[in-house]
Amino acid sequence: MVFNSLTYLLLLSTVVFLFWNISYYYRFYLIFLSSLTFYGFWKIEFIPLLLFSTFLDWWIGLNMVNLNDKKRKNLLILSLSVNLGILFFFKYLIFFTENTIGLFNIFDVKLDPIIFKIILPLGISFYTFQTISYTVDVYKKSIKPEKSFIIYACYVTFFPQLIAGPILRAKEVISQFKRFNYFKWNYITQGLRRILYGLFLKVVIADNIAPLVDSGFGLPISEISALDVWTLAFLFGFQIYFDFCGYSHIALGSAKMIGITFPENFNFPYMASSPKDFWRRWHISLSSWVRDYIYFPLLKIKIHNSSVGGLEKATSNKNDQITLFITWSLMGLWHGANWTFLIWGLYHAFFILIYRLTRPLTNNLKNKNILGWLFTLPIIMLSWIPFRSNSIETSFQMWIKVINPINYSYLGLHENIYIVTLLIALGILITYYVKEKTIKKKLSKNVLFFIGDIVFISFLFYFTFIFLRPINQFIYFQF
Amino acid sequence: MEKNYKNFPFIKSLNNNISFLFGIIFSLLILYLVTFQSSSKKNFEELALGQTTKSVSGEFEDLKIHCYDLSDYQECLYDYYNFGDNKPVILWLGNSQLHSINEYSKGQKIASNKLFSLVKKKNHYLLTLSQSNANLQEHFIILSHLIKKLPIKYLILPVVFDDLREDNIRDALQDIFLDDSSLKFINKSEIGKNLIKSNIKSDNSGNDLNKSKSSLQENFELLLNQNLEKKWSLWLKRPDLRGDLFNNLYKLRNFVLNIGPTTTRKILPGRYKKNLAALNSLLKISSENSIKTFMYIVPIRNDIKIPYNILEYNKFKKDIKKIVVANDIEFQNLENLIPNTMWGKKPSTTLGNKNEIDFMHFNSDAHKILANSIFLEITNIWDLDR
Repeated sequence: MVFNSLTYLLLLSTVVFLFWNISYYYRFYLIFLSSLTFYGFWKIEFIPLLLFSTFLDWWIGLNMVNLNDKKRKNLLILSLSVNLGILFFFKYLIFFTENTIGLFNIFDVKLDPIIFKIILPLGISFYTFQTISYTVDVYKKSIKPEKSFIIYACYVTFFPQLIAGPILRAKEVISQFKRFNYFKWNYITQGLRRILYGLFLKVVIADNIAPLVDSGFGLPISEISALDVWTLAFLFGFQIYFDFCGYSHIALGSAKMIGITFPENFNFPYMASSPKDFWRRWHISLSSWVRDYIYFPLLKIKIHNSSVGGLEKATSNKNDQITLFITWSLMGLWHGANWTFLIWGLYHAFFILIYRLTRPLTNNLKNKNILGWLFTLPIIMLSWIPFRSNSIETSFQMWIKVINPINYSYLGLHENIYIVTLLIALGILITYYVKEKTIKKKLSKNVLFFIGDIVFISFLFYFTFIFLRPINQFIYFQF
Repeated sequence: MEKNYKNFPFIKSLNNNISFLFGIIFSLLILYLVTFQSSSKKNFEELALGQTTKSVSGEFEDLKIHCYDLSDYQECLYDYYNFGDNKPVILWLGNSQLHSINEYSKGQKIASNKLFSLVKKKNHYLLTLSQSNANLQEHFIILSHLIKKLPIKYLILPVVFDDLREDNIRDALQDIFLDDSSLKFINKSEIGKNLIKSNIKSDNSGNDLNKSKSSLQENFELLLNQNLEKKWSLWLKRPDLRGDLFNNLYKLRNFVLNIGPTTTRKILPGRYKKNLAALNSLLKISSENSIKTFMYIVPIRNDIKIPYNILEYNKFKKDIKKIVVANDIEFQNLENLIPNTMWGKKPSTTLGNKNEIDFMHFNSDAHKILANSIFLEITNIWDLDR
């Protein structure tokens, strides 16, 4: 089920109404069943797989408690093997087979192509990471295993986060599920407010940018200029941000309506002052997951175990650049079974490395945040090119355009694309300024804030109302 | 929160919840006010053409012979299948020039009507399909779609410099990508493959989203929407509100950037190349299916400076001629066909009510001239009596 649909709004209203009107005990069943309904609206035949994955980790977690270290480790290996095996089968088998055959062909060993028809289960990358984190946490004794299957199943399958995150940690959420909550109007209005923000970002902004991005990336590379590449990189950067940030707002809002608080997944990522800062602001739950369950273990550093924060601790302790590149390769491939995603990951690793190496030189600079932002924004935006392109070849052609001064002498896109890109960039800057510099410090204390808020909500609701329709999926659904 | 409001006790009790509620109510009030006066669905093409220019339905003795997109072409097909006596079809593709009459008065007819009557005498059936700002990629997929549905013997194809700036396939044509027999023709060329790739949106299961219309989600969504439209007029008017919004944004853009009808429209190299590639593919599938093509450069108002870069416009004409030669098809440049007195004005495309010069649409006499001229050309090059 997609969030930007009437069907979802109906499901959510029903769940919220029932949740606050049934007894504590039945709430878990309500959440579990509504989550299965939510998932089943996409493809009912994948529910058993979701349940299997959920049950396995719950069972493993439960059985780890009284075992010795060796047996515990065996169970952990079982969990990782099964979860990653399933993920590999559904997500990477075709990619792996195609590339293996291609590799053999280079050495003149002819292999017949194997044709697979594998459907990638929605949200598998997200819920697999979530279940893995649970088992690892139980293994490390950071958390106690959950005894109730239904509560654990709620944690894994909870519909607001099931198919595109945020990737939650058990200790952040299970305790909230267990806590008996009394109804508060604040839950409803705060939740609705977040849902409205999210729908606005998705249906008004991201969905209307999408045709412009598609049109631009559909043009022959030979006919676009360096400025066009920049424009398209920025525009796609905006599209994916609004799309995914919109999704996260709706997820957070939906959970809030039944009294569950999710950690924030975005914090003005395009205002980051360094590549590292960007990853503290973009898809925070994933970057912190990768930090805690891949990067730190590879560096043999104790995990943070929280879906906030950055990599500060790791980088100050050890400077293992190979680990950085391995982590980012995995991060890239997590997004999709394609070399373009690997390139995207390595690109980020490279610029994080550059940042680490140059940081001592810039520490004493005046206005280093502004300077950092001026360097970081274009770097981040150019990283979206392989993310959006169909091939590595196209990505490199576009990047090469940017570094050749001759390609700056003409324009090849429709005028509207430049106008929209510029307006959105200005919109982000103004929103950031208003939120960070004005509201927090001055306006929130007076009546102007109240009036401004009414106008703001009216504006969002007006446009969301007229644009609400499920014409485009969320980009992150494909991961 | 308490602390924040200490200087303003009268709003002490007001908090985010209330401002949220007020915001929604305020917004709904505005929505009702905005839609208060409009009762029926708007036709945005009519609005764009204005009061002086009218989009005219192409009918001949109750036969629907001119359609605008896939939403009404079934009627054209129906009439042909039932009343066309299996006559060979001449297909005329084009843009709004074919269906719009400037300075319209009741009873006036468009060129397709006149040409239909002329070719009818030659025992042929003319079917016209025109869409505003139609680009050559759209013509290509329309022909791919119709090729097996009609016994098309001849194709009349106008080329418009302006329309080479257009890209993308409009929503009304998206169903073509669900039709396997059409895809077979589209898939034959590189540009076709790219069009398929960009227009068939897959979900992560590899399913075609368009094809999943019968999924539980789609059916349920449709049901909810239909019920809401029946019971809540505001919901029904949402497409109009979106149209109004884009129309106003378009005007605002033109106002701010001082864009008018005479502003030079430059070639957009990528789109230009894609459209010419589509033209080549279109001509190729025509030839493979024994469809003879007559192509012409459309008439344009030329008593004032045309809104094109003259070098680019000349290049366009040269490129078209190259394609004509390469594909061995019949061609005429009709850019000067219509006398200057037969062109009119259109409503303002910026803020304000001042009418503007219309470079694309002409009056009904000019429609007759166009029909007669094309008839003369095609009877000279094709033996319609056979």
